[in-house]
Amino acid sequence: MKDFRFLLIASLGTVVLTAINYPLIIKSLGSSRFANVELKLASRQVKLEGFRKTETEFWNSIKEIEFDDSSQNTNGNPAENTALLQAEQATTETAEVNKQEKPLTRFLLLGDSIMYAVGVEFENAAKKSDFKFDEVKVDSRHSTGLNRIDYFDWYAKTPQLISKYNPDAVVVIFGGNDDQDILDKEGKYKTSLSPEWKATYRERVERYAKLISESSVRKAYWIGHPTSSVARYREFFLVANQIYRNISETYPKLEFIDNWNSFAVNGNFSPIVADKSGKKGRVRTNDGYHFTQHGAKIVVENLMERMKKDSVLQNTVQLKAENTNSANSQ
Amino acid sequence: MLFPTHEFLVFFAIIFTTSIFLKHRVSAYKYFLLFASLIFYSFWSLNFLGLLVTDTVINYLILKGIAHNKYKKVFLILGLVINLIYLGIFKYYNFFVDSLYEFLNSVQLQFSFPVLEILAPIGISFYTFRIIAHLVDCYRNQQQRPSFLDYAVYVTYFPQIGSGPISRPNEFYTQLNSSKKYDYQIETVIILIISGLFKKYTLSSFLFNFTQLPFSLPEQYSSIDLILSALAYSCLIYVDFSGYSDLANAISSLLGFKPIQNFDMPYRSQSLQEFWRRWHISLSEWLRDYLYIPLGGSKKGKFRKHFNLLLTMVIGGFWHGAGLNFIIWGGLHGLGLIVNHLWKDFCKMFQKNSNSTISSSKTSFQKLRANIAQFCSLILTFSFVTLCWIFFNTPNYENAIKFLQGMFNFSSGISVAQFNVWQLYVVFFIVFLMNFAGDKISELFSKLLSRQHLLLQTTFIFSLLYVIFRLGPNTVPPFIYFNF
Repeated sequence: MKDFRFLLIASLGTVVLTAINYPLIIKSLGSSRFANVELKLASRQVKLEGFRKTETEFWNSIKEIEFDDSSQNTNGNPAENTALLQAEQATTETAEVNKQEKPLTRFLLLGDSIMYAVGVEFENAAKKSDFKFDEVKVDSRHSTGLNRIDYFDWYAKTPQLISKYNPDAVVVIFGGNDDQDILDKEGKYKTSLSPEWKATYRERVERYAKLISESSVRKAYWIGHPTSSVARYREFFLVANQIYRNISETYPKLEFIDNWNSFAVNGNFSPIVADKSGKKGRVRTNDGYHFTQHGAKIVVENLMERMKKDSVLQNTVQLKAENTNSANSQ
Repeated sequence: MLFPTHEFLVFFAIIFTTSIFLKHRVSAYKYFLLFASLIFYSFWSLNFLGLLVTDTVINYLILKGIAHNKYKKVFLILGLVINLIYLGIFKYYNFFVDSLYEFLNSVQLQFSFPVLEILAPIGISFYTFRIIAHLVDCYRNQQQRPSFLDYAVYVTYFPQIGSGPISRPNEFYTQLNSSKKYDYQIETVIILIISGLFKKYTLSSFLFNFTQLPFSLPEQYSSIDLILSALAYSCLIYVDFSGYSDLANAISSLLGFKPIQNFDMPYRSQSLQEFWRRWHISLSEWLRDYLYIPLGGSKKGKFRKHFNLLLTMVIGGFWHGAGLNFIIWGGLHGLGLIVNHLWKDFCKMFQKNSNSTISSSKTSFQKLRANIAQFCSLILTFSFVTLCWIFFNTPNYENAIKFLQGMFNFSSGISVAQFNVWQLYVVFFIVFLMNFAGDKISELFSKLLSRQHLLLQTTFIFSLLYVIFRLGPNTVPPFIYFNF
């Protein structure tokens, strides 16, 4: 009797709760791995409003690092900074330098959660290096990408960030959360990795590349994914990398960084890989797509190598000497 | 399959409804429970299910060996070795490989060997501990060899397989083999469900956001944020794990098994000893009965007692996770417990001396002094436990040190206080209430529920659930203890 009474209370309550909370139940059901396409579509159309919207915005603000502007001097040596600043001031006062000839010293790193580790390693590398970094900003968002723009819209956010930080160069990494069905322009669902999905995702990547290319940014790097131990990600990253590479080739400002074999030994994924100094460590976390700190370090080494090759990075000592000479000669 | 998900709701609705008709047919109910547990576990992975079944069969064969008096010790040792190897391979392989590479890096040796990618099956630590307890109990003749069916139900029992509580075989079999199942009170079960969902769905999901990045990237946060994040983690691990235990107990009660108390308002503890009597009780008792006492407990002198305590806590720490940070966490608790014991001995000695000179009647000054001492003990215990959690939650030892340095570095130059929000303080207050008046709140709700009419009862319960769901997220983060 007791069991039936409990069952009755539970059933009554479930019906009532579902009825009064219907949109949220649908949204919640959409995230279930057993949800079908229709349910997923319906859940994406539910817009968060009122208290729930405010709450989600609050939670998102907590999930991201709020960088303190006053602490963002990434160059480790204060004396050197002052000297550089003086040299720069002298230069700006005395000479009109074309913006295109100025060194690239302001960097903005954007992307999904994979970017956290990369961003931190880039900052660490910037602090330790002999190159000049006036500012490094990292803005990475959990569970985002170029697929689910209904959840987080990088197309709207990126111009805001570029206008706020005025970076010389942008580095992006996407794809960690893009391995899911995509909505095409006509609002139709395309199954992940199907030919239609590839075409739609390609459009999204191209749209983003165009956005970056037409901005004030002078150089942009699209970080490719290294291979993974998880077959599903390996397959997805290969396809995504190919799209990023092809699109990057059509935009002169944009460079694709191929990292595929950075986590591989003899062409196969290896969980433990050596960095440039020969130090070995685990490269990916158990989920198969996030980098460990060591993995991120290897990716950043590749990125900086490419930046050096492109003469994007300017040696501090050399730059200081050039600027002082230039000021003196005036 | 996590408890607070739609999948589980549907799964349990079917299981519970069927159980109503089978509960009192002992044999059929055992088959049914085994079937339900295997289905539940298969949702994680079929490979994990295969491992669980193989492990169960092997350990049952060892149990049969232990039943033969002649070679019982040999079979016990074999059982312990096999289980420790099993746990070592699946849980600690990566840690050993990483440690070896770290060592090779430190001595600058270029050496490579093939590395396997191994994922630990869900609940491996919990079911391995249950299996070991069973082997030891049978060896000590405290438990008779069960039938294979009973044993399989015990090992795979789905409400407890993910994160406990670690039930003891004797109590479990008694309930399993009785046609008279545990007679639960509806209001008690409802309170457990509401409490579990509120802790997990609302509080844990909220606190989760404050405890991820600061522990991965402590150098990016100000001192005040790191302090708030450490406090948030203390609250998070309590609400997350005790929320899970509440739900597991509610499900067990509905299936006819007596709930096992796993938490008893731990943050009101005035000493570390008391904390371990209130925190993760089923594990503390397991460690006491199957590790601390077999090591000699307190019967072999003071030095040995302290050594046994330290060793038990270090092993307990390592059981939680494969990492130096977990060993440090366990070691710190071990050292804390030793200091706690020494202090108690010192106080006893001091009291003995002072009792002979001072009259036994307490003055108001003495009462005040006792209250202040209690308050200081409480703060000291909570602070120590919170600082130890930092090692528990950071991905490695280096990050824990950075976190601690950041907490006390008020001149780091980072002035942003991102976490200084009133909502967090409200949650702190709720967790405080749970630890100081949790029992009274439960009693109050129980009284309210038992007196009302069915319709009023339903309205009251689901108003509470509505608030919980409104405050919770769309998707729930996984339980922390599922990683262990």
